Amino acid sequence: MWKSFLTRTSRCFSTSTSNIKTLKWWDHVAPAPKDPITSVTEAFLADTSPTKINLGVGAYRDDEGKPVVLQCVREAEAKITGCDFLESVSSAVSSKLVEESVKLVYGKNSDVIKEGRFAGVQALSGTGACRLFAEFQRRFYPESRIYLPDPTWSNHHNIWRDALVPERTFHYYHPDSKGLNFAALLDDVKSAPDGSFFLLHPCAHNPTGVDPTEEQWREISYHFKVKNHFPFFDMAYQGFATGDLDRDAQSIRIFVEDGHLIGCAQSFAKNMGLYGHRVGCLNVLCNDAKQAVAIKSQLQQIAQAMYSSPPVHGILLVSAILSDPDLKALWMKEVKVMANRIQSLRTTLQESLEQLGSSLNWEHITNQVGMFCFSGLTPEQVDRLLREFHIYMTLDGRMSMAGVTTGNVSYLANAIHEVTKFG
Amino acid sequence: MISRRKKSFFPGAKAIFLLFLILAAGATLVVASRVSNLMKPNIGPNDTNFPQSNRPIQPSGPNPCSYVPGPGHCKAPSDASSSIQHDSQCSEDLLVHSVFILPWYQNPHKGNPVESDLRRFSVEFNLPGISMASTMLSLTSATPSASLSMQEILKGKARLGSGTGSTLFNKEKGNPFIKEKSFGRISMTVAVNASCFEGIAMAPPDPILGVSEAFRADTDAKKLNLGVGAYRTEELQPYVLDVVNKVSKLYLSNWYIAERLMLERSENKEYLPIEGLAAFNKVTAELLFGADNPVINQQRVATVQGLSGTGSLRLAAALIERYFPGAQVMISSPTWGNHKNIFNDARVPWSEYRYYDPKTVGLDFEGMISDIKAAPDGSFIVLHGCAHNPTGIDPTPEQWEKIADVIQEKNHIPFFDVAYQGFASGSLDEDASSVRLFAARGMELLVAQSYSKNLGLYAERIGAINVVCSSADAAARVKSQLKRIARPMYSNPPVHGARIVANVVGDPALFNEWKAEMEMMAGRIKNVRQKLFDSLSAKDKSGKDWSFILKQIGMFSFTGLNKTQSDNMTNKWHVYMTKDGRISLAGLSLAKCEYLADAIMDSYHNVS
Repeated sequence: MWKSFLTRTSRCFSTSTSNIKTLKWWDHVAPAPKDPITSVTEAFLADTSPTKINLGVGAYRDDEGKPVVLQCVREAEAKITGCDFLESVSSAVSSKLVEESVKLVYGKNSDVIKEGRFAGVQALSGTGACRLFAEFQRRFYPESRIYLPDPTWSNHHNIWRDALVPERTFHYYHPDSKGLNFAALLDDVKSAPDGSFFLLHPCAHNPTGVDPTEEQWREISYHFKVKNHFPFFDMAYQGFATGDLDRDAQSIRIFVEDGHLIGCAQSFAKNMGLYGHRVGCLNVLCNDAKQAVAIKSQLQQIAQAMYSSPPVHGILLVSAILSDPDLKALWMKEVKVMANRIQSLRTTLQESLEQLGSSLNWEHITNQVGMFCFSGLTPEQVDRLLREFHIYMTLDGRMSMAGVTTGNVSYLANAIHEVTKFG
Repeated sequence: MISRRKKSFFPGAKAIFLLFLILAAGATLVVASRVSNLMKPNIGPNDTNFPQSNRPIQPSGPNPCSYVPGPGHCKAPSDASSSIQHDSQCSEDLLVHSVFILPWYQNPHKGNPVESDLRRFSVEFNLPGISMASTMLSLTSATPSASLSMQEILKGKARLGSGTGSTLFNKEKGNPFIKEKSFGRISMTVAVNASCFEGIAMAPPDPILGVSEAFRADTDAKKLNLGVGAYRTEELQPYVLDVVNKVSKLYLSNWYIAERLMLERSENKEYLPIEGLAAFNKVTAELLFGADNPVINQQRVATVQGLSGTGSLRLAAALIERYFPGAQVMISSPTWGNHKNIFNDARVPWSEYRYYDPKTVGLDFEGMISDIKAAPDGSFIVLHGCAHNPTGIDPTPEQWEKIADVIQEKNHIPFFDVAYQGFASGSLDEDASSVRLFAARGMELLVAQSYSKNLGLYAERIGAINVVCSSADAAARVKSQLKRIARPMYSNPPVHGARIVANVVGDPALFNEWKAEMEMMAGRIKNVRQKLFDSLSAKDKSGKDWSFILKQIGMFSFTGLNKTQSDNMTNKWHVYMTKDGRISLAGLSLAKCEYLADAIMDSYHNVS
């Protein structure tokens, strides 16, 4: 391709004065397909209807549908101004952040932390953390694959593909029950080659909102142990499932209890509302502190050639919050408020649909947890919601419950009822 | 191909477990061969049809530690001793056992599984992509020396990731804890080994950041850090630009006073679009090309916000890898160390063109031109827009014209790294003149920008990649592809630095203030440069010409000191610098010039 391309262009380069029409360097570059999630936002912004609702992006909104800056973040912002924050991140700040983040995952009294058995690095939110791990996986297990739940966040596919790690999927969601397809999940875990890498959502599964129960997690962990699989957790919504940070990390702690070595990506985009600041953390559990040092150095080297070091502003905010007991307590309270608001709107939406006399079963709205509701709406129904009701969501029927407010919930229920009543 | 690797989960029952495993081995084969049918690769919501998907899929076999032969590949073990041995480094860790079943086709070269696998596939299936796969593997290391040819791999010489010191499959070291037994046609190794990551060794430290660590550890009062390229005041303190302080405070007051307004202006913490802050992208391209440049008016520039210079270069490197497979990138010798890492990790082959002439401590212009001429047509030529890092040596305007001639003639694509715009001469326009010269010729080019140095936003990670295309349509397509590369890397860029830049450049008063500060910073460096030259000339009676120091530009000066001389600078004089003889003039004050001149004189004349 390169050769034919060259001969094509080499005919016309020789003119000494330039003619820009002859340059065709990028002609073979086709437009990239739009990202399914961000394109929803673009369409929403272009819509002029006063009743429009955006259920596409998974970002928290208050009851007026407005973005929220948490109080703890405002206080942290005030706290960090004046400090000399523009030079490279001092290693003290960054290791503090990593340690505090890891405590959120494993619990503050975990042996993992006491023994220093983790390799932790800051990352560019959840995506950056997953990408670092994917690159790391390919570097040291070049033949391995990644098993992703079906369905999963659409960007997971892109991340591992760009890292050149082949992917497989495992069963997760059952369209009929709109719940977990546990038997098929276990079958897939058992039949995957030993020592496979699996990606798991520890809480508030994106996009389905379907989480395994505690007993199911224990069983999954057992079978992972038997098969010597490597569990990689992408924890983007800690706190959003139950409103309690520890309870949302319970699945991971079950695995740690069972003696797994795991990897975990953390994002502070949702639970601190720091979307645009790109703060996250990647940690990999190790056998001992010595191994942790080696792995950390490798992760840093991967980051070095990708973006050198992470942006400092968000890091300062997060470490200010996590290392100040008062701010941390305030944060936990605010997380609970956010989770509760979503939970109560789930209930309202379900009740509204039932009151409208919908013959369908809407229990899954309250059974599912976290920011998303996997509504089970068909692409046709999603399309009708958009065209007739100006309600935007991804084509797979994922609704971001954060976009629902007490003001628009009955409008939404009515719209959903309209598009589903003859289906 | 199925792999088996077991970790004992009931440490007390290892023996039983092993027995079970052996008995189950046959059954597992059957089960595992079903897997491939049950679990078809799902391209579900991928929607995105990446060119990579056309690449030959790598031979499967997730765990390189062990293999069980799949049906149809059975050969009797020719050499039972040709087992994979594990690194003994961590063998003292007896906590967990791993069991490996070795492949029957284990080759007599004792190659590691990856090698033998590659080789088997290249022989049996003759996959066209296999050499690419091996290149890919070799590039997992960050050092160029680790690039391996296929021949080397076939000879079994190559070790995976040798540059990074990976000892995953270290064959030289025997492992006393490995016991081997032969069960009929299955050779089994029981290794006392622990985690998946046992074989991972320390990555080498960064040569530049290592200098700072050594500096911090030094307790001498006269110590001087000339290693890191970050601006310092005359008192050698880090410097936050006034304009940046002002903008930051503006944000703080926003929190309290105009909170609602801020939210309405959507100045919250929500995600930026993948391509970054629109206001930033607009001003950054205008700053680079000039607001009235035709490439801007005709919308021929694809601009995407990046994570400072490194992140922007990486996006462009990924674009090259995806759309110009096999195209060569030429970098100057020497260049900023991370250039090599970036292209290695993006799997873009690179080579060097001559740039620095040690005899004159100046530009090797002849060598540069002839190397660029000798590069295959359509190569990407990485050029430092101004203030070459690490040498501080820039081509003259006439030389830039000649370079542009050669690049045009060879149909190369210029790829500028502009990390110091405004910092070299003190003038934003003057420092962008090389880029604008190429753009004015109607050439297509790539330009990576960084605001680390000129706005002092080092840790905010703010920069951009600009691709000048021949049409607005091509620019739109290129931009969409850059976004697709960014999405699986970090989703969207950080907002804080982008807002600072957009506000500084977008506000005429702040913009003028910034220009004045930049002039001040560049002026300080020029003064230090002059003083250093004066001190050296006054002290040196040998007739040595030190004028090259004045000819260099920007934050760095290449002293021409070799490694032993540089060591002397550090060990005897407590002057910390990189071992290639580069000093950062930003770390120098007028008051310390005399001292530094003494140190250089001593190292240059008394150490060889």
